[in-house]
Amino acid sequence: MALVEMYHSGLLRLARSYVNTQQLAEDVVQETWVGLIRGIDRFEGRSSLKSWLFTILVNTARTRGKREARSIPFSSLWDPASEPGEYAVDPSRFVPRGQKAAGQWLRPPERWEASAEEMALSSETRSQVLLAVDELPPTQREVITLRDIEGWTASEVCNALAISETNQRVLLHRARSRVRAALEKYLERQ
Amino acid sequence: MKLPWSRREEIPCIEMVELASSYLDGGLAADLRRRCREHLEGCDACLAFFDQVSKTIALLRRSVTRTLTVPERQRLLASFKQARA
Repeated sequence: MALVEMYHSGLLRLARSYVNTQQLAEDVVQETWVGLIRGIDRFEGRSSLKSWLFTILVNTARTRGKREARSIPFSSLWDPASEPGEYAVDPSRFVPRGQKAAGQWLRPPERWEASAEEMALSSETRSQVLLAVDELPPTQREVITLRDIEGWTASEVCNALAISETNQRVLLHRARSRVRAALEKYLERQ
Repeated sequence: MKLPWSRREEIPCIEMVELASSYLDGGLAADLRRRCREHLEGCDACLAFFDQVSKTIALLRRSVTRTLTVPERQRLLASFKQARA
């Protein structure tokens, strides 16, 4: 069960990108583990067990998501680099173009005095982070879940989701920007 | 990456915020990385912003507990038994 302990919650979070309810996500993860057990003989060790596991999950979840008739993220078909821009920070927080000092901060960010370790002690802060991840567009959520929550490398994520290095970078940047903005908003209310 | 400002100009703050994620991952080309660092040395607001992004990433890593609940564990064990049968 050590393997299950290590990956179960990550699989569950990723599965939520594809299906509507927590119950369905749990079904998908369960199906994934069973798929792993059934197929373990075919595992040739060319990829890591981890990426094989998540590949089974992505395939299972996409199939299930389609069956549930929900729009699913076609990461491989969608190119965020060709999408219209999305700003990391609301442009109204900077001096407008054409003025002196254009592009400089008008409303600069506050310093977060606490260290990340100290901030993480608050369960409320931790759940705000996960809430922000839940609200991301599905493709952004896939990438930030694997990279920042699960700690995968960029190339592992590109392989598992079949996306280009550029798409991976753009999606991660946008996802992190949204989570940071959500945290900033939450901390301002405190 | 296409840059909207010229090579000699200082990177404006509004563009710095778009580079934070790649900078923190060590993904910028050497020249751009150096110019980012120079900007950060003279700009407390951008420094605070980069620090926020860095803390956001660290918080993401720490936001989850990696243990199974008892019902989760029971449900999984049952399905494993079924799969082997």
